[in-house]
Amino acid sequence: MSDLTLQIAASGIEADEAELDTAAQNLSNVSTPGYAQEIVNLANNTPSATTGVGQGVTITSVSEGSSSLYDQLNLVSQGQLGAANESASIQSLAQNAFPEPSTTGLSSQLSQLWTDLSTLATQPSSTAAQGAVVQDASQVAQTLNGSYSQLSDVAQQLSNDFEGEGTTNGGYVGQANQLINQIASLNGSILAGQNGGSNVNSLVDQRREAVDQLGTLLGVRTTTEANGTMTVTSGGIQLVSSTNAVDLQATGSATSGDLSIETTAGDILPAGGQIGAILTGVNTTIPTYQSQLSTVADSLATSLNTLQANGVSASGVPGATSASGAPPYAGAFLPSIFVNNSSATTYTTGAGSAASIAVNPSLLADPSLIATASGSSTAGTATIDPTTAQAMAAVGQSSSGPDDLYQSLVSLVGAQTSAANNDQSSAQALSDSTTAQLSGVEGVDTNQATVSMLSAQQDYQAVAAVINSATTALNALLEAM
Amino acid sequence: MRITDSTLADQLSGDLESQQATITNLNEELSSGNALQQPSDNPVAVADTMSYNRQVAQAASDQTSASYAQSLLGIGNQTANQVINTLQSVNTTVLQALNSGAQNTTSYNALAQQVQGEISTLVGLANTQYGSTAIFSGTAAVAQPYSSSGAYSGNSQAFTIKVGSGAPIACSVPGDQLFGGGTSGVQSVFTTLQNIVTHLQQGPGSASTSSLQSDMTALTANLTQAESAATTLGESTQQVTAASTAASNTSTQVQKILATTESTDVPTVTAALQSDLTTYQAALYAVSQTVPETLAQFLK
Repeated sequence: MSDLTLQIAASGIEADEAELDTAAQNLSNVSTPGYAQEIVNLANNTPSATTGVGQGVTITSVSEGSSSLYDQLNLVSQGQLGAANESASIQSLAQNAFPEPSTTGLSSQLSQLWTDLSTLATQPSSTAAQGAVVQDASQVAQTLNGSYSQLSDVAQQLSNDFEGEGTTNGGYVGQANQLINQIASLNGSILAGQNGGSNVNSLVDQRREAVDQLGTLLGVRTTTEANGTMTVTSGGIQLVSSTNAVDLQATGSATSGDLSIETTAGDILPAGGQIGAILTGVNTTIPTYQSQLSTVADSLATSLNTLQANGVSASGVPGATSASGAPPYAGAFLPSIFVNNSSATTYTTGAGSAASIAVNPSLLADPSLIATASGSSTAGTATIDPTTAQAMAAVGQSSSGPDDLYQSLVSLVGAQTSAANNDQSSAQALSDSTTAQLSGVEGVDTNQATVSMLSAQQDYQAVAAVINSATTALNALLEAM
Repeated sequence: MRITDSTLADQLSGDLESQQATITNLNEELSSGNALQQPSDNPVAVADTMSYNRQVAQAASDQTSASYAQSLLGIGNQTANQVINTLQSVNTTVLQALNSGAQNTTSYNALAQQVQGEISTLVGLANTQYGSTAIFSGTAAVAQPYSSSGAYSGNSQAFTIKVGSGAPIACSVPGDQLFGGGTSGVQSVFTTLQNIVTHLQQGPGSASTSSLQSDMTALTANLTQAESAATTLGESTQQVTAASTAASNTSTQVQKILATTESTDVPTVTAALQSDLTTYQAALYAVSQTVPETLAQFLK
């Protein structure tokens, strides 16, 4: 009797210690990322054939309270949240290049230009009015340059985030590669551990955390194989299979709008997550804004340059295509108002024109070289005819002029930023909900763990009492002998 | 659903974060007085605001142009009226020479001198400037469109000012349309007056009487032209005033709309802020109560 009793009690002590240890482990890892609560699985030992009495308890395993369904849902929502967060931050950075509505933005600078052109139209020979117009034009050009380069800086920063800089910062691509290799190596350890019969729960936790991070970065799907290893794919392309990792690298360039991420075998990834959002920002969003900003610059430069070329200045200098500039006129023509950059003498439209549009230095040096009079005014004769100045001032009221184009661009940026913010809110809500579901299954509930601990403690005390009782009984028997 | 510690912690910290974000936005709106901080706040309202701002700037610019035009027209009108008065006075002088029986060479010479004086007055009026610009030179940039002998060096194009989106308004009459000569088809007023002087200097007699009578016809033509020029200037003044009033009305209306689009609705925002602050405090209390409360608390 007593030998069996002690054996049974010993198995109980072991089981209760395992329960206590597990409770301690769970309580210690309440806040550990990727940790799934552990559960001690016990089994009742089959009764002895001779006596029919049970033979105590065996710890069959310590398993994790995980759910692959919730893991998957959470992984998908992490990818979406990563993409939405990155998009919202890109939009917000891009939006900073358009400080509207304000009294200092491009919109009010353009209004100032039109107002000063109206003043010039009332006093065409006033040097003060001519100077004001040229300064306004120069200010507008500088603001266009500034907004364009601000967008370029954002794109550059995003490219750096993506590709990394120097040798120590591998960027998001480097991080993704690190995670892919970590997952493959954890697959190897898990496989080895399971084959050797050891507890691999902590390795699984680490792998879950790495996969979550990779999901945020890239948007991935996973499949857990029968042997416990995990296959990771992104956009249908396998990144990890068993212990094999596929390295990723950046390809293409932001300049040509085809910056992307590919496997070393050359398969382009249809990336999601933060990387996907960065690629969209660098390849599409920012170039679109820059090219639309250039459309504003083009509209401004083309309309004013055309009027300048067709007009005559207050001192009688004709524009190149004005009636009075026709032969036999042989002198110098009026310079273009806007040029592509401060060393150019002409203006050509293009997707990058806002980057360097400038007011012609010769006009800055001599503002009287602005056309104010009609093109048929006599060359060489001073005139206060305001026809061209009036036409220039009217550009501001044109329904397809630079002001309207800029207003449309600001609307577009605002609408896309607002949409990105909304996407971020819904992705956050989705992620909150999947995280809550997941932590409902996998997380540690302090109360539950404490109850397990108390119950194990009581069980332990009870089993200890059994040992005491068995010992007393044995002693009584010995004394009786 | 099982509520674990991290479920609770995630949810509470998420709630607090979103409430803090709302409170920050409302605070910013209140302290800046602007409902629109950036384009994404309300893309449609931002586009509207930009468009309204442009309309207000345009209206202000129109009003500036209109005010310049009104000054120019005011001086033009005043000068034209002085020209008319001067011509009427010459008319009286000539009538005096023709009608009074008791005229002699001396009195004719005195009248001639008087008219000679009027010629100087007219040259002065013809060279009237606003700022440093002659107002009767058409669009020619000359400081003195009339020489002392009355020769015109301006042109016959009216100087225009554009107020609002309508056609440019003529804001001065070219000299030849007020003083004759040039391409106007009317004899220059200076020629007419110089003729009168010459004919008065001839002294009384049938020859000078006949000449002075034809001078009277020419003078009447000059007067008619000057009156018509004054009328033109008066009409332009009315057009400018109308355009200026329109610009001023536009500005007032648009600024009203702008105020409702762009400015913070203080009572609404304050109420929203108050309510958010209360919710936030309640959430903070909930966190302080919930997070530490577990079974572990009661194990001694």
